[in-house]
Formats: sequence, structure tokens, C-alpha cells
Amino acid sequence: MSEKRNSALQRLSKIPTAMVGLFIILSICVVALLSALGIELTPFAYDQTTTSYLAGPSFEHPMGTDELGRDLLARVIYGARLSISIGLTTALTAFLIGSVYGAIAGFAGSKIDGLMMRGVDIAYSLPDLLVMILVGVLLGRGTTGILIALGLVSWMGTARLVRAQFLQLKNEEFIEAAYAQGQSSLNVILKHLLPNALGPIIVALTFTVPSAILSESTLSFIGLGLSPPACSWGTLASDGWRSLRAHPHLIFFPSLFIFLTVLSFNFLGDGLRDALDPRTRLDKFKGGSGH
Amino acid sequence: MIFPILKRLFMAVPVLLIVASLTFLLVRIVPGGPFDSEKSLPPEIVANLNAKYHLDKPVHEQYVLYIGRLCRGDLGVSYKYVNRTVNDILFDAFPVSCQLGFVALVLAVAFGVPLGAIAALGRGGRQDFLAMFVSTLGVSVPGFVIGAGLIYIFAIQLKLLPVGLWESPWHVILPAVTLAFSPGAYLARLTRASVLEIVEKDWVRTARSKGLSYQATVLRHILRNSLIPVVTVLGPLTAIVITGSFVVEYIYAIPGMGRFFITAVMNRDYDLILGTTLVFALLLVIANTFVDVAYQLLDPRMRMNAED
Repeated sequence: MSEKRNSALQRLSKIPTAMVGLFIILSICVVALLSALGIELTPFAYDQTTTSYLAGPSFEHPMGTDELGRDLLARVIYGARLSISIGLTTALTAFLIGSVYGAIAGFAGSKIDGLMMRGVDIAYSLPDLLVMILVGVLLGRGTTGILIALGLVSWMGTARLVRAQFLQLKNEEFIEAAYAQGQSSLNVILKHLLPNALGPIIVALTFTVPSAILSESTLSFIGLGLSPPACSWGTLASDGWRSLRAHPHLIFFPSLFIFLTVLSFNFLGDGLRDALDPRTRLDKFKGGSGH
Repeated sequence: MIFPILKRLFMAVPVLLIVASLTFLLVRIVPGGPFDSEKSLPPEIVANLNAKYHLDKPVHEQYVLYIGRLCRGDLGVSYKYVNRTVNDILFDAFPVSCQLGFVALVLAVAFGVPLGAIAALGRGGRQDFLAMFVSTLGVSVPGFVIGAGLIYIFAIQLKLLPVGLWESPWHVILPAVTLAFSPGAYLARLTRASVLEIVEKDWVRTARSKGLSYQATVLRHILRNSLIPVVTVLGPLTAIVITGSFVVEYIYAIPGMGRFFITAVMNRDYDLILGTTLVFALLLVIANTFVDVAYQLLDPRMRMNAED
């Protein structure tokens, strides 16, 4: 098992786009973490006002300042905390709900499985943003509301995947062997089925993070997500949008970081998928409908 | 052929009813109505307004009233756009969104499918890497960034194209390009996977060994067959375009369904939220029904495969 994982990591390290992606992700995470620990990375605080209003990029303010004279670099770093943690929290939620739901469906099989997956099929066909906006009406536009809405729409992909993996794995000989040893069902699920399904799950979660970051920033941009004083890349871009004509730097830098982060996660996810199973490059769309 | 289509469409009725009921519940259990924000109106007027729109009745009575009206095809009135019914608004907004969505889909197919085919035919090489790089870029740039970038370059700096509203064909170009990015990238990946699969088939080798040229094999045998999965993702594509339209119509101030949906949510304009959501749900149901039918028309084997 660990040998298999090592060779997958070796293959991953030979994919340049994935490695560049990983490097960018780690850098941004480190910066966000340092900022969260209270370490000053810029001479200005994210909410500190200065007298240079709406200044373009300069030596003093590498990304310029906003209409209150706040340093944009400091705000982008501060926004990274929220954007990155929203992405990671959503992936965690998707993993927890999706794997439990998928495991039950895949392990139970037959009628229960059919019923559970019917529900997922219908919910899956609705546009995420539509559902999130409607749920947002109920939950309000705070961080918690956004996180619940994101969690609600993002677990279904993982659930399908876990179910498909379980259905495929549960007839394998090593599962039969585990039962023959007298292991309980729960034990088989946790110790044998789940670890063997982990590869594809990790790939799916790697794609969950960027789509959560995209959804949050899009919602905030159209005014249905977070709003100031909350500060994410989405709210910063939304602020910048209003002065696109005269001060394009205000939307450029937050957008650049959303783009870089999402791109990096997508490259890493593509790389992980190819490294874990070179075959999936060919047939990832074959079983698209999941039946 | 007609009967299964009708059956599928008939099955959509309960789905739409569930969507209507869930949305109704969702919107009505939220504290705060359309008349209690912003300017504080005298309480008598608020009471009158609530009585006029039956908002003073218990929720279950409102629900019965709503479903009753729905069955007669009456989607209700907008609380914010005075004297306009939801039917009126949707009647104006729907064609706008359809035009936008259609042009964007055509662009997405025109660029996405060749991009995917190019990638697959040069598998593992430079053209594969480049094409997939471009498609990953396409899914990684948020719609509002593409929109803002295009507006800044083509409208503000170069002053080539108009921005905002929906007046001339020139107004369609930037929004449609913005909207086409993410379905285009999706189609490119799909086409690539599907061409890769087909290139390996025996009958492709047969076509080549009977002397057919490379170009003819690609055009007549490979591309044509790889289009099947492309047609069958119309459901997800519709969902992608609807999602994209929220952002694109917001940015370009286009009076389409996406924009009305967003303003309706902001204003708690109950009937307008419900009406737009129902139209979106109906579009998705129609797209998915079309896919089911197209599946069987394009490839009779699918019917057998689906059963085992």
C-alpha cells in the first residue's frame, strides 16, 4: 500500500504543472497562516487608513490603496485567510458528509442505494449557485451562512464517488477475507473499504477547494455573499468592480489571487488524478451518470 | 418516439411542484417581508399592502393560494416593479437570456470541441499540453474577472464595443464571450476524453487500413462519434450557462432572468424569486429530457447498455 502511494507521489513530482500549483498553494497558505498568527507581513494593517487614497501600485504600496487609503497588499493577505479557510472547510464538510452518505449507499446497495442516489441525482443537476443563493436567503449573508450553503452543495460529488468505489471494492477478495476473519462491518468499512477508496476521494476534494473559493467570490461579487467588513478576495474584487474605469488595480490584484489559487488547485488535482491512476485520463467520463 | 418524450415531460410535473414548494417554504419562513425594509412606511399602509398580497394570511393558506394560481399559469405580481406581473417580467427577460445563452453555447461548441479534439489527436505532446492548459485556464478564471477584463480592454481602453444593456447585436459580443468560457473549457475536456477513447476502437483501425486518409478518418469516424457525449451533457451545460448568466447579466446590466433573479433575492420579491426559479428548473428538465431522447436517437446501443 505505502509502496503504491510512494510511486504515485513520485509520478506526481514529475508533473511540472502540479508541482508549480503545489508550490503556489503552499506559499499562499503559509502567508495566510502567518497572518492569522498575528505576524505582520506588511508595514500596514489591513484596516489601517493612510492619506494616500486610491493610489496606484508604488514602492510603498505594491498593490496600491483603496478609497479609504488602506494598503491593498495588506488587505489581499488578510482576505487570503478567509478565502483559503472557506475553501478548506468546504472540502472537509464535503468529505465528512459525502463519505458517510456514499459509504452507506454503497455498502447497503440495492434499494437503499437506489433511493439515496436518486436524491443525489436530482440535487446534483441543480446549478450550485442557484441553490446557494436560495439557501442564502434563509441563512443570511454571514460567513457561517456561506459555509453551510457551500457544504450543502459540495458533498454530492464525493458521495457519488465513495459509493461507486464501495460498490466496486466490496466484492473484492480481500474484503471477503476480512469478513472471513470475523471482522465487523464497521471495521471493514473503516479499515479496508475507505482507505482503498482514498485516492479518488483526495482528487475530488482537491477540486472542491477551488470551486468553493470560486463560488464564494462570485456570490460576494454579485452582492449575495459576504459583505464588508468581512474581507475575502471576493469582497475585495466586488469593491474594486465599482471603480474599474478609474482604478483598475483595485479589482486586478484580488482577482489575480483568486485566479492563481484556483488554477493551482486545478493543476494539482489534474496531476494527482493522473499520478494515482494513469488510466483515469482515458475513462473519467465513461461512467459519468454514475449508474 | 413521441410517447417516451411525453412521459418524461409528464414526470417533470412533480419535480417542478417539489421545486416550487421548497422554494416557497424557503422564502416564506425567512423573517422579513418585502415591505418592511428601507423607507419605513406607516404601519397602516404596510398592513394594507400585506392584506392586498395575502401576506397577512397563515403560510399554509398562502401556499394553497400560490399553488392554485400556479396551476392557472399565473406566477403572481412583483412587489418591487410596481404594476408588473411576474409573467410580464419573465416574458420580457426570458428571450434576452435565451439569446445570450444560445450565442454563448454556440461559441463554446465552436471553440471547445476543436480544442479538445486537437488535444486528443496530439496526445501527450505539446499541442495536448497547450490545449489542456488553455482549458484549465478557462475553468479557473471567475466569470466576473473575465467580464471585468474584457470590459476594461474592449470598452474602456480601446472603446471598440459598447457595454451595458441589450440594444444592438454589438451589445451581445462581450457578454456572450464571457459566458462561453466555462462551458467551452468543459466541452474541450469532454471532447478530449471522448476522442481518446474512440481513437483506440477497432473500427478506426479498420477505416485507416482500408485506405481512408487520416483527415477523412478523423472527420468522418472519430469526430462524429465523439460528439455523442458532447450532445448528452446538455443538462450540465444548461446548468453552467444559467450559473454564468447570474454573473454576466449582473456585470453587463442585461435585463435577463439572471439579473431579475438576483435583484429579486435582494429585494425579497417573493413571487419573482419563485417565478425565475421555476423557469430555471423547467429549462433544466427540458434539457435533461432532450438528452435522454438524443441518447437513444444517436446511438441505439445505449438502450441496451443502460439495462445491464
